[in-house]
Amino acid sequence: MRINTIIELLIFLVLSVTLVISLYLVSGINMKQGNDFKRLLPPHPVTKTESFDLLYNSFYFSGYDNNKVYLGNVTAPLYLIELDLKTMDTLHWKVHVENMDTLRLRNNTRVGIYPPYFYIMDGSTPQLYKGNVGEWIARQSTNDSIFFSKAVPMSPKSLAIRTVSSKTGEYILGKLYGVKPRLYLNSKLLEKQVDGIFCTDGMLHYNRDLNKLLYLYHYRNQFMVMDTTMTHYEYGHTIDTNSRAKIQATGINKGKSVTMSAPPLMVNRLSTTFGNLLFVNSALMAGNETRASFEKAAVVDVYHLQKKTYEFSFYIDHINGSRLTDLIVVNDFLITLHGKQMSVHTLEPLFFDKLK
Amino acid sequence: MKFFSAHRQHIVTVIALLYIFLFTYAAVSKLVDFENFRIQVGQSPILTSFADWIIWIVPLSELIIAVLLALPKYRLPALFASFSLMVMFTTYIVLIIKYSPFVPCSCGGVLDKMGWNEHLVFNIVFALLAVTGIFMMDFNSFKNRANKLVDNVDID
Repeated sequence: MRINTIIELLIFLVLSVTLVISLYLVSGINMKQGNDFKRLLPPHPVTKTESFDLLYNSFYFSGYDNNKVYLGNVTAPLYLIELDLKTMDTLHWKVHVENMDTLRLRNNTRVGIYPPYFYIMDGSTPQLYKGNVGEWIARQSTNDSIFFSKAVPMSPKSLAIRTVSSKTGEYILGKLYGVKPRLYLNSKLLEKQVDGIFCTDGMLHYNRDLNKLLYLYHYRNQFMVMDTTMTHYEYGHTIDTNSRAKIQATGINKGKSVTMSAPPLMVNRLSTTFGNLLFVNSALMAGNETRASFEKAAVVDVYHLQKKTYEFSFYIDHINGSRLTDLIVVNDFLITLHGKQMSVHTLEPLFFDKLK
Repeated sequence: MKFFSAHRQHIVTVIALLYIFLFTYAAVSKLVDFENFRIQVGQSPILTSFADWIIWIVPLSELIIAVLLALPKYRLPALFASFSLMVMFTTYIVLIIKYSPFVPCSCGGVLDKMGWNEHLVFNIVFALLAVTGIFMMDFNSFKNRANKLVDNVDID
């Protein structure tokens, strides 16, 4: 009698454990679909030459001027680091703000560089300060009430911005001028697939060499190349196969806010642009990569913006378990951030000269 | 041992009551804050593909088992079901701790305050309670049947 009960219990035990493990395995298989593409991985297109300990992990790349790269700091918005790529020296700057008492900066304040100017951009208060690079004195540039969630300077007098449309509640791209008409929005640029906020999230860049704006989606394999009037645009695609954003959004708090109800399938994590090239840190493994090599490094894909072609990829190893947090390409250098660690890599002429 | 044999019936009742309380509480707190529960299951790195079913199956089975535990006639199968459900939760937690790329936020109500390791211990203890209950009921029914057998013999 008791033996039977023990056997029954064991059967239930095994069945229950098996059920959950199979759910887990099948779920994993479903999630890993969609890596039906291949990467070209030539030997060592970039070589690491320098590394710096920045002591804080809150830095990001603001921009560059000739051979100088500038880093802003998320938690200390008025603190800048300048890296000179000729001498490989770093300088620390503190920005002075006129009328300091009116200054209210949030955590999402960003510094943007458009030589000879720099901008302090806070889209949630909203505030905009402007000054000269090297002088580092910022004056209030506008007193508008135009909110934005991303901004990139693209001329001495205008910024490309991403904001939320008051009509639709969805993300929209546009342009903020220093002179009238002050604001231009183009609702045709971002294409809604799910909810218009998460599904259109992405990265906004200005390419000074081509005088073009770029918007690269986080959750689909698409980017847009726009002229600075933001009326003409064309599409490009990253090499993976995710043309539809794989996200689910649910309204909570009685529809007052929206949240993601399933983990989104991230396609493009980070990106930067310089010259003819677009560099994308993709989150997706290609069919011809091994999981071991993919998991110990960040993969960066190189695209040619004029030819609209994928060129090749390379790996940037994690440093002490910290993955790539930001990257920028300036002239013949790739500069990366891994939390507190900044590294400088040289772009090997053998691979990059023919793309110039 | 004498204590156990004297109070066997009561111990089974206490175990059943504990389970009824646990399952009702867990199911109700999930259903009350259903949106949150749905998001948490959806964001769980392990169940994502099945989230749409699981959000209904889990609280409903908890409620059904709680009702069955309250009915003496179905108490034994209900204890088996409780045991199985606890084993499933435990397996899920082990998978989360061992294999998940990231650890999501957890269940509902006060259970939310527990870390995953405490949760694991809590679940194992409950699974063992179910096993105890099953053995005791099993022993009771064995004794009942034995008594019946003796009665029959007497009549004959």
